[in-house]
Amino acid sequence: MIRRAGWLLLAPCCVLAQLQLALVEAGSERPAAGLLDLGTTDAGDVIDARFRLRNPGSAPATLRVLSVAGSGFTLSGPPILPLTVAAGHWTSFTVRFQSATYGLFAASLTVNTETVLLYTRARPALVLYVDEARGFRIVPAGSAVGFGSVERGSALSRRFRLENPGPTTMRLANMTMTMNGASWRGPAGLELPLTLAPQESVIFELTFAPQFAGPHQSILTVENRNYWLVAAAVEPPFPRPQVVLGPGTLASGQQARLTVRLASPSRRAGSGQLRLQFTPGVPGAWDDPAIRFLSPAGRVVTFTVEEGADTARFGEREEVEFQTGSTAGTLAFTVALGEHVEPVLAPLAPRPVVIDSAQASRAGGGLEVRLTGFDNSRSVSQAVFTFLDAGDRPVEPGPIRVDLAAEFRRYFETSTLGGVFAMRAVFPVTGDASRIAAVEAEMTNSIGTTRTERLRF
Amino acid sequence: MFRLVASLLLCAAATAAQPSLGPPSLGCLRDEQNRLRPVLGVAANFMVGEPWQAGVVAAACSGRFALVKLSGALLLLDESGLPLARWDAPAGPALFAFAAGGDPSLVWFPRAAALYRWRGGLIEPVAVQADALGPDVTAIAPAAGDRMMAIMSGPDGLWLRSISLATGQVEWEERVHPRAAPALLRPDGTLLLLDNAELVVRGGDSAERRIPLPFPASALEPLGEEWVAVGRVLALRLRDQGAEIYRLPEVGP
Repeated sequence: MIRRAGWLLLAPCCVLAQLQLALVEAGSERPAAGLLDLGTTDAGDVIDARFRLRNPGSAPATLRVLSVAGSGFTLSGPPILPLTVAAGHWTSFTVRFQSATYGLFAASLTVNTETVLLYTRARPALVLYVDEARGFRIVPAGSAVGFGSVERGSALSRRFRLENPGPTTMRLANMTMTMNGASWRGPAGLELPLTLAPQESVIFELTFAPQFAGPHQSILTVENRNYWLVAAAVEPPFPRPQVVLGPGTLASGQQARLTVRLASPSRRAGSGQLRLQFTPGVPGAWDDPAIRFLSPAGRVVTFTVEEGADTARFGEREEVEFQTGSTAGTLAFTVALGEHVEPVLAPLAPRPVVIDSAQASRAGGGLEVRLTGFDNSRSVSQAVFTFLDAGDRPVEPGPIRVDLAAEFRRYFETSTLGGVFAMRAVFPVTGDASRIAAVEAEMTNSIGTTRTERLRF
Repeated sequence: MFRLVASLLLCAAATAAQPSLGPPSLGCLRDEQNRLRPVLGVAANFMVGEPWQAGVVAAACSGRFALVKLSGALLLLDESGLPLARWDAPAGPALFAFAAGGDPSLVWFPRAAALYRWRGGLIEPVAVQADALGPDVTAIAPAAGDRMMAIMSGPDGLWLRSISLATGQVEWEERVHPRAAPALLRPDGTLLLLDNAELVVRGGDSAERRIPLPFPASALEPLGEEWVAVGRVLALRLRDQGAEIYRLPEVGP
């Protein structure tokens, strides 16, 4: 059968004005003129005929008209016209043939004012189509079908149609797909062997379900014809992380814990980072070295997330401990996981002086009081010592007030340890110091006053 | 240090208080790289400082002093890590004991089977019966009446032994735990030992308290006056009111 039979016959001349047309085969040129056989292929498959237009003259030649007319024939990558070809130079283009049916096909190739008749044959064969947004598209043998980008752990299916365009029944006994890990499934929707009557078709599905991230490919073999299936798998995104601080309100002088919870079970494994920053709320304070994670010690810790888990892991544990230091201000925890960066702020309110340890002792003929603690507002103003006799009666002259504001200010200006302090007060005693049995101490800062318990000598 | 003008009238005498301020020092600990480091701060607010001494074979800290055994020397450091005294010492490890108040009291060199005591600011050897102390000693402490206590570890458990420093002889002993375990004697006679994931505190009245530990630990070392390092990971504070456990900041390499 001949469709669009040749209706043009020109002089068997391969000179088109100043341009010479040639068919490029295996790297060499064959003059193209008159009637040109482009060969035979299977229905659905492609023939690409590459032509070259040379300008053998000594002056530039212009290509003004380039067209192909005939069922199944198209120009592939034609030059933009008009195109000037310099003397001694050439340009090229491709005529593509593809038909969903079998038969003898012809087309006219026009170059400027000259025309060449092209013809080819398509044998009956099963034709593969892929379902796309604008309908089914023929898939030539040897070409690729893209599945796009799919998250690992999810799946994407594409519909295909296999059609018998021929005049006789065709049998399909072999359809296979090379496996890449367990990433490809199918074909689903057909049972082999099958027979297809003329013009009959069958629909089936191939599924891409990647188990690992990266590029994937497979080869679909239909009888002896191969088709590439290509896809990419990407890791799914991490769920949004959230810093969850331990129960209760954070305050200075604590060892506390936090966890990093995920908004949903993670669909991927990976690691993230938790950063602790501190902004002092005390004038003159620049940082507090005790504010840090404990293991590993520092301001930054990494954590891991296992697939399916909804809580991050710090080593073997699901929580990480940190110290809140001895300076009022604001702790900022920033958790970074994948694309997520989530901050949480935790204020550390100023509080009265915290006395961690208090001791009273006799030193020579005097008395010694040692107070260890911290002042997170760094605003100690005074201390009061009340000495008691054996009957717990205050000893004259009663409470002794000591102005500490200047001394503490100087101490904190030079200390690099936050708001912690150790104060040692020695009271020389003239007289019988043994009559003093105990002391009570209190310290005052801008927030309030803290008293020790009764300290026995 | 500064002086403040405060008067304390007692028996018609005027006095003046003399407070001084400084960073609080809890004691010191030996890190994984055998460096002695100060531990500063207060409870739950620990800061581990830069190393005082490297190449430490054994060490103990009372809060006021640190005793440090190097490969061939014994050092006495003050609470700032400054050396106060240095003596030649036999090779091998050492066990230390402090008196109540934190003064150095005893040192035992097991490889040389040599016991020394501090008396009047001087260190002097103590002659002990050959089998009174040995390589099985895991902890020592001074005791009243010119005695010392020692914890002996053996296949049948831990034994508390009283030894006269005057005669060098064993006065008595009793089994205090059915299994061998890391142990520590406090200056007040309190025995601490690790029993699986618990810390056992055995007071002078033999009453036992068991404190669950958040992590398994394998060693007990004196950290400071009130403090014991448990496995270099935890800090235990023993007070009349009870025991407190904190986590120590991890020390990097």
